[in-house]
Amino acid sequence: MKKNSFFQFLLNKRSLVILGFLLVCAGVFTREFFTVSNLTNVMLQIATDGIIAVGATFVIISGGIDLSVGSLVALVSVITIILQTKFNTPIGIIVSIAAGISVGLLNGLLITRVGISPFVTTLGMMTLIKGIALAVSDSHSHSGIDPNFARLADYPIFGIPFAAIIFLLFVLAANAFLVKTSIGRGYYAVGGNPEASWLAGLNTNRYILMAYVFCSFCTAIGGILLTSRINTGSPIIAGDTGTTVVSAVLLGGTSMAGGIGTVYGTFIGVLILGVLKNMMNLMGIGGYYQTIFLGLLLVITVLADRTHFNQHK
Amino acid sequence: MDITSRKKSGSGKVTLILKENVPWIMLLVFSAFFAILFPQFLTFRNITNVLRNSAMIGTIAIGMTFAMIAGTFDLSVGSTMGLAAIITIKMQPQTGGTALAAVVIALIMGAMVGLINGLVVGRYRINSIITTIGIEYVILGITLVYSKGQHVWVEDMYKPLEFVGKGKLGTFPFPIIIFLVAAAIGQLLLSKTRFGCQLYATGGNPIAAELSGINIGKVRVIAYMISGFTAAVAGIMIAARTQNLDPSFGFGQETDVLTCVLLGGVSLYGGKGSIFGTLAGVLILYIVSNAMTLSGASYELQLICKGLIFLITVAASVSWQKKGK
Repeated sequence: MKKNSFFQFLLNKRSLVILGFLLVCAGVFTREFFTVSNLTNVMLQIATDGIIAVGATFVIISGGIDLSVGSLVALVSVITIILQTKFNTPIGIIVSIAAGISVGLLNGLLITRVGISPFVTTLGMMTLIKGIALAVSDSHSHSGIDPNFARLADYPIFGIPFAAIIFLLFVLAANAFLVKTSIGRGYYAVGGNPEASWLAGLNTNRYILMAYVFCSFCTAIGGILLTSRINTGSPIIAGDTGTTVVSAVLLGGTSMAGGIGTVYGTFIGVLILGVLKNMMNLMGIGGYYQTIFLGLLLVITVLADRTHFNQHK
Repeated sequence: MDITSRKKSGSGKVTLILKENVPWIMLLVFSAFFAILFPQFLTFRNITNVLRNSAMIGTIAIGMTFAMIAGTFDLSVGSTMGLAAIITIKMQPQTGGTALAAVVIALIMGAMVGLINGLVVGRYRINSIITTIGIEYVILGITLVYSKGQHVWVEDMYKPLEFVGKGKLGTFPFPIIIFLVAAAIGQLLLSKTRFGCQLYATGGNPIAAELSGINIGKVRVIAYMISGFTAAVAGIMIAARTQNLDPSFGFGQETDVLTCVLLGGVSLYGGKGSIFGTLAGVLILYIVSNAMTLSGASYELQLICKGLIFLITVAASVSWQKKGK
């Protein structure tokens, strides 16, 4: 009996267990992992995808999915740099955020008003936004000209890069919002059983719409920080951001079926992916094998999610 | 009176026929429009060109129609096509033996990918999107490892194999014939066999299908295997036509396939659709991109229009289905 409950405990905290296991492996198999410079590097690498994953958690808890995030990052990066060159940095950032919010509104309206499934809507938007990013940038990469903007993402505050601080703030704020406020609790209701929530008086469409707007807002912020890190506006970056983000959210215990999940879980999921990627790089495992691994991980997490989900039913 | 009443009943029938063939009507309207706009559109050369370009994606669309009717998505076909093409070229098919081996291995690989998809997705349609995206990445990675990330090419390809991609039967390019034969076989499978019946039942109402004794897991595995197989056929056609390829070729092309299938009136929720419709969907997508090329539109603009067409089609088909309920 006691043993059984211990296993149950491990199962409930499985993402933490996986993370612990990975950290031990990283310490044993690589020399460089636990150095200050490498850890700073890991923080910087996970921050941008992490911020997007926070937004995606809302969408997935509400029962949807957003595949357009990768293209949106590309669009944001192009807009930021081009407007920075033509006008100045703040205008680039503001227009990027506005573009992000409009994409979120469009996604949300197509899903709630027209009634197209989230997957198909965001898949179509993915192609559309990619086309716009290519058209805006004339299919070229553009380099940034503002040195202050180029330093923004990795500017250290108490030794922690600025992008990582923003990521932590997003995690804390989003978690507090989901757990402590009635609107936040509403997301679990809407994702878990939309019809019952509707009958109980929740405006489900508005919840879902706001989830997509928030997700695209997070994507815009993540995209701006990524642009600052590489100081380049490129229409072809972030090709597998969508997949990475969904993997991180699912690894963190959020269910594709909706209604189950936490932002802290997503935080752990992002850390797992970041540590894993860094470890593979340090061990000299090439990018091609990493692609295979990313795909396998996605399939395995979905399978694990299914069994978990069935246990609850 | 007589005339009006007859007209009334007649119009009822006509609307029904129209409703069932929306994709073909769209195709006719688009064609007429483009024929007026571009004088070179309706030439024999341009039409065969459109058909030949559409043959690869069209063949995959036929396979994906099966997966979609069964109520599941298959988003791994892009990489599967790529891996089949890379295998065909990397095996250096310069003699009859190696050519046969390359084709057989590519086809078996395609069916195996379908088998894995089918077994993993099984009966749970909720996971099919993410699962097959995951498989898409796994196969892209395998292709990159296999080709070492290098461009692949073959000189002096075995002539009969080259014929599959480049050959002409009379004035008709051979890929079109493969595409049409695949479509005919697909339509026969769907409308004349027990498996076709089970497929519609599985997609339309899986619970009812299972209760009436259909093994829906098995039906979906077969649907996925057909999808993977057609992706491999398309890959072989591409390999035979170009004979030199980028290692990441094919990745992401499932969006085009999905657009064709949805334009052809296959339901997103399974249980509805036909190869006949998919055929129209394929042609619509390709005459639109052909018309854009004729008008001199840039690649970026074409991509934007593709996205718009995709969203508008789906929105239209969703509101259409809502009205039908």
